[in-house]
Amino acid sequence: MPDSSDRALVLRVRGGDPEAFGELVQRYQTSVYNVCYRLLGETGAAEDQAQEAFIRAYERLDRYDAERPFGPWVRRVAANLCLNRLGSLKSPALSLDDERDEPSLGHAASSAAADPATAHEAAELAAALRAAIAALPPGYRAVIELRHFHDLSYAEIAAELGLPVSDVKSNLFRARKLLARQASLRQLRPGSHD
Amino acid sequence: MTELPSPHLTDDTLNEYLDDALQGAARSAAAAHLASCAECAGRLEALRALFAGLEALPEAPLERSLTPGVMAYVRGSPPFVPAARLRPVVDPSRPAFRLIFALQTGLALALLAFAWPFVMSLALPLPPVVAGDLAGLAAGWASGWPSPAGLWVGLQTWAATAQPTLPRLTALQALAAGLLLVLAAVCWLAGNALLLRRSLTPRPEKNL
Repeated sequence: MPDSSDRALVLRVRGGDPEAFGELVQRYQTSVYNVCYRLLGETGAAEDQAQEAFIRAYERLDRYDAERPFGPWVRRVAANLCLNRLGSLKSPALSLDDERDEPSLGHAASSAAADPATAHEAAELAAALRAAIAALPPGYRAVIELRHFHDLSYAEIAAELGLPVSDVKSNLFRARKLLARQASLRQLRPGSHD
Repeated sequence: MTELPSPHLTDDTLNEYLDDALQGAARSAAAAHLASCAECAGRLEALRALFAGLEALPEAPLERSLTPGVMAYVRGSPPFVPAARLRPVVDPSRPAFRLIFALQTGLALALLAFAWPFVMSLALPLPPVVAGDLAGLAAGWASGWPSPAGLWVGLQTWAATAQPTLPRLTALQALAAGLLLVLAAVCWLAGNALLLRRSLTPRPEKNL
């Protein structure tokens, strides 16, 4: 039985069997798309960037260390593509005053907060959180993505985005506060003692 | 009236606490405060719930498969041909290598045997160099740069005395020699092309 591990598929591609790359795309396309969707906040653009991420990964496959997991690597490729697309991240689009004026996510978030025990409401909660991420300014989306979905440290995020660590922390903490507020999830909303 | 500092932990401290970015005494102090302050503990739990919500966020469904678009590009690109999959530049184990190498060696020896008399007759009669000439040259360098005119005359003298005497060949002999040299060159280049060619066709993978 042929070895269908990520490593074996990568080695097959490197060995001249491009069809093996199709299996890798099939395996990781949803997670890569989700990285792009969280960062770009728009389905069409996310699909385009996810496809571009796989093409970029194929072109750079000779630089990929096959001993490391393929999924996180290709997701980082996608994240970098989207971050480049988002452009400069040094000036978040929202001021602190804007944060207070963010529109509520409406009924979905409210009903999810009311009784998050049911599966339906859990889905609503997820949708609300996803929408809240999409509503964040690009710079805030970037730090949330890199910290919570790629598990990077403050310093690693700073290096990735070319920002001082202090700016990374400031953007990250404000983004979390916005997320809690925008999702209208009472149980997630922290108080403020800045 | 001066505002007293808040007795509670700041949002920054709570975030750093959950991010494991608070170390040492600062972390111990925060932990001690959280143990005794219900309000800060509640804020920490709320923040922790946000972390959990993000961690548990299910993936959004992908409406269309990306595979066709990606694979259309991949199939239209040159295949990966890593160095390890190319035939070695010189692979003595191949029968063709031994045959071509033997032919080239035989051709080179035959050409050398044919050319040897001509090479011997072309031996350049170098001008005799005697100790006096070397001493004069050394004295010239020691006294300064020799004049360009003197150098030119010396070069002309050397060229006149070193001129080789070429053997006189008949037209048929010259033609035969030229053809032989051309044939040898063509065979040599063709042989090298066969020996050094690279295979760009990957072998089929069976069991990786």
